Amino acid sequence: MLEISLPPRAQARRAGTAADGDDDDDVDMGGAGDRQLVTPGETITTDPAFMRGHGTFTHEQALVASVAGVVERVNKLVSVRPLKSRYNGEIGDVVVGRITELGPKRWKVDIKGRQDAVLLLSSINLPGGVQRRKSESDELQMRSFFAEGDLVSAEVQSFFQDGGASLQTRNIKYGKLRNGSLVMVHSAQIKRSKSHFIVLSCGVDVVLGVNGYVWVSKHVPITPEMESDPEGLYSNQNEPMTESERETIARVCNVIAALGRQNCEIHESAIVYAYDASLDYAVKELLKVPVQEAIVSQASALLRQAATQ
Amino acid sequence: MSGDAATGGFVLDPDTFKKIQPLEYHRRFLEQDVRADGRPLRMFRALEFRAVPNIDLPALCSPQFRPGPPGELTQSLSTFLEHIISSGHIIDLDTLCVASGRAVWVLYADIICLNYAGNVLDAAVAALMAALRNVRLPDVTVGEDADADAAPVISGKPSKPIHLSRSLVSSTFGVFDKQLLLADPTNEEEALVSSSVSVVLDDKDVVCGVFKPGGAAASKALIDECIAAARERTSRLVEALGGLGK
Amino acid sequence: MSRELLAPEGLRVDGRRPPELRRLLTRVGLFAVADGSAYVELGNTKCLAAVYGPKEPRTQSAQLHDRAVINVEYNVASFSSGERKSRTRRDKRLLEIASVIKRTFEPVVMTATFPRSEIDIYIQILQLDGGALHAAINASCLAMIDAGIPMSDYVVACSAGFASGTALLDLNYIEESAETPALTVAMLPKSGKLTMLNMESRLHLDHFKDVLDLATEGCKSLAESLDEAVRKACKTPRPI
Repeated sequence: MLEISLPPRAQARRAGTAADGDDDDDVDMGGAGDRQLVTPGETITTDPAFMRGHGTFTHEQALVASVAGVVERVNKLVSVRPLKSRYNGEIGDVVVGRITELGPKRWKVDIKGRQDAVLLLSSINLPGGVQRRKSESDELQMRSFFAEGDLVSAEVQSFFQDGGASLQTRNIKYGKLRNGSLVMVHSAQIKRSKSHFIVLSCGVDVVLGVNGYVWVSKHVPITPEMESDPEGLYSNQNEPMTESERETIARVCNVIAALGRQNCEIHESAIVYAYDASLDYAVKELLKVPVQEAIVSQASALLRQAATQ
Repeated sequence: MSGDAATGGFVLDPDTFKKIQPLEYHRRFLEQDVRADGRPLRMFRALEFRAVPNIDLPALCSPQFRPGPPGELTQSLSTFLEHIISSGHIIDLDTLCVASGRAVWVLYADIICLNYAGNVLDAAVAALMAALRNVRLPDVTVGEDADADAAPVISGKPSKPIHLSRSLVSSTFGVFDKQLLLADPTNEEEALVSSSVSVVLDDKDVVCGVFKPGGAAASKALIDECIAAARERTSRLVEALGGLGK
Repeated sequence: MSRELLAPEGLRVDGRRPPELRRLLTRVGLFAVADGSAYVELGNTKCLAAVYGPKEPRTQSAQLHDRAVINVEYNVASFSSGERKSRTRRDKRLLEIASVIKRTFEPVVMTATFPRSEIDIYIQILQLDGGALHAAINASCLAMIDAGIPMSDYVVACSAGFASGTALLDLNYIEESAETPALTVAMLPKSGKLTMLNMESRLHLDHFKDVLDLATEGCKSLAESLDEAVRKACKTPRPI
């Protein structure tokens, strides 16, 4: 079993011989676990068997970190994930973005990444009945699908030469977002998983964009008829909503914002447990930091309890 | 805000101003402006205290501000601040006059926004008020028979705070769909409202300024609603701060 | 003049010994809006840096096809020194300092990773007591790391001068304005290489080495402190 040799400082910390700073709960450094924290310029390993991934570079046969973060090892690929960085996409990622610009047969989408993403006209869902007229009215017609300011959910299908992402919304589960609110958290808090489309029992749906944009909306069941109804797919009309439904959406938004603020990993169970913990408070109370801390620690306790059962 | 670096310039109580907006503020500097116009002492004091507030929204504080000369928002906020200070009579003019007709203080108040999250006006007024409470003026005299160009002399006496006759609180509301008021709009909300109304009140229920820089027309009833909401907020804030610490 | 800077007991005007650094205080990641931010206090000099990017360039023309463009804006607050001084953004001195900082970071930041994007570094000096340039570089370095922008090493800077036959580390305002020869140096701590040297005064060759050595020692010391600050600020998202 190949071991990555730790730089002297990290070794000392592990052995408990180095002077420690604060004992943060957040960082699992030294002792328990194998989270190795590195900073730019720090040598990760001199073992030539390892390949360099993101956040590393080679210098004189050593693998060196270029960002401050935790070392991740997948087989022979060593990379360092920075604690904070602009979203960097991968093929298959589910993202939520905002249309910023219309261009010839494509839209530009802001996904709070290093570059705007592109959504090609050929990558969207055009149900059978729609004729795509290749004439001057293309741009007009394009606006009838997505216009500037619209929020969309999409999947990263490929990358351009310069690193920009190309998105697609061919599947019925992607497309224009309605009936809800956007919450912005840090992309590092959304881990890639199988379930980015969450249906909560309170009647609210959540789309967890890997880029840190989260869409919280009233649950609207998807029916087969919708697939072939272009008017419906690209409608700008929200469903009618009761005050109680709006309040539930606001609650889920604030819960996710609380998880965001408390620097937690955000996924289905975290949201479910934090939502339950939030029921003790009025929706607007969830904006206060002490309340956020309370529901997160309560959710944590509930999660651990569930795990032991 | 978590950024208080515990230095002399950071006198805000973080919890209080967290309710408003996260902003850090700085000390202002004072400069003496001696006007040599040769008027005899008996003439009515022609010089008035002058305050020069200057607000800066650098590109540093948000991606929506481009680097370059101050934009419209910045200029109009600076102008509004200047008006409320001068017409608001928040500073007792007697404490600022060094020698009637000859020497008066000019107050430069520089406000920099470091992190923009919407509604900078309320935070700027709060910062300005807190900074004014922090002002210490050196004790200065101008010789009776000195000529008009003589520089004032700093006496050895300890510096004094300036006396504030009132404390101002600004409350800003975004007007959504011409009828809904959103108090203390965030950045996202600011982008969506059709206009905004800011009401500046003092701790004695006196309106010291109203700012509605264009935008969609609002009914009088709406303005009344803003003023009522601002009153309620001001009184709660005054209570929380224990009389706005004069 | 230089006689006053160093008292017979070997103490400087602020009570420091010649090779002593001023007190360093750092905060990393204090702003939510910027991608990366940092605040540095070196004695009484206070400096803030905010980094945005890598991101879509503001204008089409402001991009390079093979790497990211770094833009630096350097501002000094009008209230930062004893006398209020309003400087326009086009002040030559400010532009020059911004340019030096940009070129100091360019070879260290792995810009080839982000073609067609831009990285903006905004620096705001809030209080000036000498050493603004090196405080700005140190703050920018922390802000860049906070933003997760890859660099081959830290960029750490420090100044040193010469007075009364002695090399002095980390000059304050009085020392800087007394026309002491002053050298600011930016170093990459792992390799020990120097990326920037800035001196605008005259210094005899005999003394230059001492001043340079002292400045680089100062950099090494600061590098340790900056690294500690980064590690302390490292908080990966935790499971609830």
